[in-house]
Amino acid sequence: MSELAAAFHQALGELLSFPEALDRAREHRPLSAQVRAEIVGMGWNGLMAPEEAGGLGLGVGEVIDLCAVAGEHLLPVALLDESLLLAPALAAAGHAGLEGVVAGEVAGGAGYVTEGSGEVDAGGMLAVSGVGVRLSPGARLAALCHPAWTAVISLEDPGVRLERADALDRAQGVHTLSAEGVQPEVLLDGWTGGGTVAAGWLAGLLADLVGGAERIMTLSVSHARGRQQFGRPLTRFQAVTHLLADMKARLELMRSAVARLAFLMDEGSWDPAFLAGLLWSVPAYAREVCESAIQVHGGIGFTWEYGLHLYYRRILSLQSMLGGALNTAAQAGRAYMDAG
Amino acid sequence: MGPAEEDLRTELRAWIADHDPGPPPAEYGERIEALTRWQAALCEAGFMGLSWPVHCGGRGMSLAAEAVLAEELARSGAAELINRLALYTWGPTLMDLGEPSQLERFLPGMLDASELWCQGFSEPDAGSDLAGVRTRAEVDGDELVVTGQKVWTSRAELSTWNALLVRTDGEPGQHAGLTLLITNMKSDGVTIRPLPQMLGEPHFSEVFFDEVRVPVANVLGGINEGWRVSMKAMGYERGIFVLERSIRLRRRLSELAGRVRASGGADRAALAGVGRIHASLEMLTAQAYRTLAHQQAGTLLPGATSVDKLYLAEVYQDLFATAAEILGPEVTLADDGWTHDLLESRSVSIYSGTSEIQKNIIVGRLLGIR
Repeated sequence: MSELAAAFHQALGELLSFPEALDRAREHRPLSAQVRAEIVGMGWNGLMAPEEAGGLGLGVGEVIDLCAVAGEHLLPVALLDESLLLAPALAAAGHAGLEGVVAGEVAGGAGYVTEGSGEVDAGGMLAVSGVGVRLSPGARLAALCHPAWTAVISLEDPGVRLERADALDRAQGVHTLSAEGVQPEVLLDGWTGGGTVAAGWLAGLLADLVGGAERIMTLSVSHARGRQQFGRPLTRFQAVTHLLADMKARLELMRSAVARLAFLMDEGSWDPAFLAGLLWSVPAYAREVCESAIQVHGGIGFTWEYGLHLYYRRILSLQSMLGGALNTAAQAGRAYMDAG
Repeated sequence: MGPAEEDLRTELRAWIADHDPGPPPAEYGERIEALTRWQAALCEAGFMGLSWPVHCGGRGMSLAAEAVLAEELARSGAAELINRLALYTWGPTLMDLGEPSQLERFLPGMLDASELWCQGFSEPDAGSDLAGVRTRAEVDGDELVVTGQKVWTSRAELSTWNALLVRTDGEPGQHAGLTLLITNMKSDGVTIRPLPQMLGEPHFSEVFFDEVRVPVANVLGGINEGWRVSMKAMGYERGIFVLERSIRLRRRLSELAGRVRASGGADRAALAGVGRIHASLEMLTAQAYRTLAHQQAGTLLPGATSVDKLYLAEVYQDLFATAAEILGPEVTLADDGWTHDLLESRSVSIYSGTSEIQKNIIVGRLLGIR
């Protein structure tokens, strides 16, 4: 772990207490402005932004370590969006709003627009319908990532409608966004066309799942060691340990794949078909890890208090935002066939 | 990949374009002969033992060079190295633990495929439980005398050398007292009885040893050190071997995609199937590259390669089962290799340590649960 990742690991561990995360989820309450300000103050929102705009200008390889830390500590997802998509998109377009986002003065968020749920017409006007976005409190800008384009829009545009939609991932500021006839503030290439801004964000979200899966794995092994049944620990039951082995294998595969994606991105030789594959596999494997973790824990794993559901909600939410397992697999198949 | 590896890629691609023998014959015996000639030709051209030190007959390159070789071979008709057990498992183990005279004697025949290798681990009463080995060897002067039986020995009848695990001390069930003996399969007292597989091919055999005499000079790693030697070898076996296998699977996926394209396009279920396999192969390759990097750096955790082997079996089986679903009766009715591979895929979760054994290793070594 890099020095910076270790620093965030320690800070997020102190700032984001697990009981407090459960309370926020119970009450659908966002992170307090003070805690948010402390995290932003450490430079979180400028991870990928250029140094002249107050950012840290990190490469993807460094950023994925930080995202894994974010996933482990359940950092509100809108902060990942602001740092990894909104700020880099504004930076790529030379938009004047960049410094405000990096400094945390302008809040925002992002969402993924699946094929068929939005378009940018020939005149450059954007229309989307019912897209899930995760927004920080008071968000004014939202970045939208479609396979073919990446856009930043102003949420103050009269063509934009937002509705709260946080049934699944609570306290994350999830809304559905519909927009019609909106002129984007920024319009960039999408990831299928090699757009690196969108790809960097997606890599970060996948790394977040690696961090979450790592945490879930640790909890599960620790539970299996400590919990006694029939006079012996769960680790003496092969049916249980083989679940743990499958989880560990999935975790290591996720880690290897996301690290390779980051390596290829930093090298400038990444391939959209590779990313398309990971958009299916990493969320699918994270989900398997979490579902097995709930099983290994037995009843305690299904309680509100133990909190595995916070990770599960985060995984399901991302998988669903990306279009679901079947659609992302089909999209990976299409990308593979097209790359021919 | 660095510049040396990229130069190698260019060199290999050009050479393979001129020398590609095309797909090997379907008939087993002819296929083995063709693959043996192919490896000999690759060796003659300087492409075998890329990562082996120069003084061992190699080119002294990184393990990444072996990855390049595997990738480029996958583009050829014959994406297989007949002596891969020697190249990727026993060669490296020998270089780690062998005496100089052993390196001199055994390495050249590994590279040019003039001496094929098999591995004598499993026995009727010692399959997954390797410590159960009962085949005995008694020291008699400067020889060991071996008596016992092995089973599931792949390519036994084709091999010159057998990396044979025998008991020189202790009782079955103990890790101590095992010895790795490089045994000549043409020796007096060796009887090979092929066991046709479900594929109908005599790929593996029962091998009987009746007072077979093996020089003490053929002990690898010391008498009673066989467990350590075997574990070392298995680490190699599940490393680059997995990469080599995954490259072959990539070729099959590309063929599957070609057939889907030729049939006029894919419905969503077919696209999802292709996408899932594509993603899985990318995961497997990423994992194999990470393993290679750790092997190169000497930081590979004990048991880590069990993840690679476990997942290889899963992807292997998923690929051919999915292909059968997508392509339909065309696969099961035609004798064009897909049926062969569909059946063969069931062996992958059994050989080189079953998937259940891999899980036990992951639990014990990677999760530290005893």
